[in-house]
Amino acid sequence: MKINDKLRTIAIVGQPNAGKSTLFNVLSDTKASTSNFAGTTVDLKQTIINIYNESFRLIDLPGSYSLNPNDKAEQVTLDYIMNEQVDLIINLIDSTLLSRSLVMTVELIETGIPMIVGLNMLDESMAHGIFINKQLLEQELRIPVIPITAIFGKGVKNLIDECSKLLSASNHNPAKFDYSAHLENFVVETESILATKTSNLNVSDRFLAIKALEYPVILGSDLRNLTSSINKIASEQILKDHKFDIFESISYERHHIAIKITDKVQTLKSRHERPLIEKLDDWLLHPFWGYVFLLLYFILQFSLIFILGDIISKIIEVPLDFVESLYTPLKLNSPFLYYMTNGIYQGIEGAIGVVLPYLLPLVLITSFFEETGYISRVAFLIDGFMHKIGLHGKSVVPFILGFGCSVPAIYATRIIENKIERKITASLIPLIPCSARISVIFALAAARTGPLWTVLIFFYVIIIIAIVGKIISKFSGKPIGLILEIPNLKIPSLKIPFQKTKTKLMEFIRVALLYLVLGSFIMGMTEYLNLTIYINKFFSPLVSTILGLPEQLGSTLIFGFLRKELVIVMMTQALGISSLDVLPMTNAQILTFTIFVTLYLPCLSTMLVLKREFGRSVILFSSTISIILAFLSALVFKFILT
Amino acid sequence: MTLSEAQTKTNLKITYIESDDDIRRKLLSMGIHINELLIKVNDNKFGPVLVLNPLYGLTKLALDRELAEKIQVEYEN
Ligand SMILES: Nc1nc2c(ncn2[C@@H]2O[C@H](COP(=O)(O)OP(=O)(O)O)[C@@H](O)[C@H]2O)c(=O)[nH]1
Ligand SMILES: [Mg+2]
Repeated sequence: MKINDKLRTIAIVGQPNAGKSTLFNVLSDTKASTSNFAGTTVDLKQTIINIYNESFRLIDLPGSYSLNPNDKAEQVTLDYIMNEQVDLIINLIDSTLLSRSLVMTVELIETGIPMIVGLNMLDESMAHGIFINKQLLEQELRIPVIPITAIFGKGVKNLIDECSKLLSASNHNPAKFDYSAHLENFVVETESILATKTSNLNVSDRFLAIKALEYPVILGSDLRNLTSSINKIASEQILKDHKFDIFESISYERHHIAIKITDKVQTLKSRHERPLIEKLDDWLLHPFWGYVFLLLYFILQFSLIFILGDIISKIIEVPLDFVESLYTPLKLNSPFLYYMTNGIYQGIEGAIGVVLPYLLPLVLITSFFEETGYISRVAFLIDGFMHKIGLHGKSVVPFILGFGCSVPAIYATRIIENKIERKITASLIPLIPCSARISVIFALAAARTGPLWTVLIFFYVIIIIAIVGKIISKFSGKPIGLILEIPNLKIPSLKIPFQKTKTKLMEFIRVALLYLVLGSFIMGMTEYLNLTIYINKFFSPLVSTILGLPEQLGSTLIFGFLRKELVIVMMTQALGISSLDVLPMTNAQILTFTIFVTLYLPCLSTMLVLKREFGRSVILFSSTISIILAFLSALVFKFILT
Repeated sequence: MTLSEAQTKTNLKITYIESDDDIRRKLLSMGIHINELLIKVNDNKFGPVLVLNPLYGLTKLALDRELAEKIQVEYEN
């Protein structure tokens, strides 16, 4: 979508897991994906919304704990607020975490940008006996506060009305938070220095003055030079008086402002007993039982996908076969038409009949567990293991996302503060079988090799990742400093998993089917023109001599580079069979091929994202290791199995 | 004693954090503050320590073992 530059901009800003993406989805029709762990919103998601006949640009900024960025995701948010013309900030707050959230609210108010507070997760805070007095909070902040429950769309209408009021108001006059006297003096002095220079930034001079003292690295060199001498004086003075450096002193003061406001506006109902869900959480995080649950979780997820996938594919088979029987008579009357139709139809059949049945339960079940908040618990439990391979628990979140799709997983590495660790994680992500590849693995297993082999392949891939991670990290030093938020465990709403599955389904139908139909068509044409032979001949040394597979599979590798699930569909095409159970290959060959395809190259979109995030060198690196690994692994499988 | 050694389910007060600026700042922004109360919820011998800042509600933070060894705490009643 092309977004008109003249539109006024509304930005949703808040800490991770405040529900920003959920609100964004409610306010717009596009479905950005939501997730219950930090750092899911890492690419800027924007859309156009209509408020009383005026169009606005709505943007969902990456979650940030403060405006002093610690990682790339937070940097993106700060850059956007400082440099772009934001006309209104919706500061979304998780009402169960009022005091922590207010620390950032104070900072956001300092930017001078018109603002409104969305007090989200009201259902949760009520359930936990937390009551927040909206009027009092409005008095303290002197900006509108709207209680909402974004997940059910409650209060969103009020929020929109209030936004519209604020956008047409000419003046706004939020609270000003004073720091303790000698800090405040330095702020005022810095502000007067900055006033001598006009800046084209979107934020107030007071905000810039505070940042010039607190965290000057985020300012451009002109402002930094202008304020460097006062920064030096203030830093020395504050360190002497407060025994904390100036950054920490300011943070502590903001923190105290937030606590003071919270004390005034929040009341807690005393609880007789901890709710069941908190007790459950103790078990899930338990040093022993936690791992038992983790194992059960894997087994459950695995069997569910397998069983559901099998059921779905059996159901889908019936209409698919029926359609095929409709055009079969053509074979006698007009063979050319028959072969063209059949070529395209088999592409569709492969996609819908083979890949989709496993893709759907996979997405549904994974996003269901994401919604509960369990994934952060997994990160917690396997942090120790990650350390062994030179990464820390933060890499777990992108890794787990990688089982869905490498693209968002690579974006999610932005929550990793350490640059080298971030690169390592991103280079390893393409090795993780994404939903497309998992569907392929499951489908082949269901048709031929049996479920246990699937487990083995996963196990193998994880070991490979561990070894490679270990080797790379030898060159990069030890990771320290995992600080990962474990959000409250939630009873998930079924709405979001179904929504995500639907989105995935639509994307699949749009993109995959297009590729498939085109692919099948091209495949049919190349076959007609006898070009396939050359492609197959080209890959033959690899496919047939080294790996001992049917030569016809060569051409499928090209399609697999476009989208991984195409491999399996094109495989039936290339070998001229109608379903996988009549695949003219031994189980050993199937497994060799599967492991090769799983590892051999990041797909096209993954490469594009790697390039965008890290540049060519990481693509080259990731591709090289994946090709080498694919070869070695396929050979290992070949020799062990035959 | 360090946070890593402290007993679970007890109220602790942080006295000192020995680490570089980046990490101390990150801790600060997530609610780990010197002189403030902290509850150690859980201790996973294979991995991180789980803590909770009662002022900040129910959300828990997982801290690396290495990091937990750098955070000095004392018992507080
Ligand atoms: N109970 C409850 N959960 C919510 C609400 N809003 C969002 N969530 C859930 O909170 C989690 C984080 O939401 P998300 O929109 O991804 O947060 P973001 O990180 O701020 O973008 C998801 O599991 C949402 O389903 C709400 O009002 N009530
Ligand atoms: Mg988000």
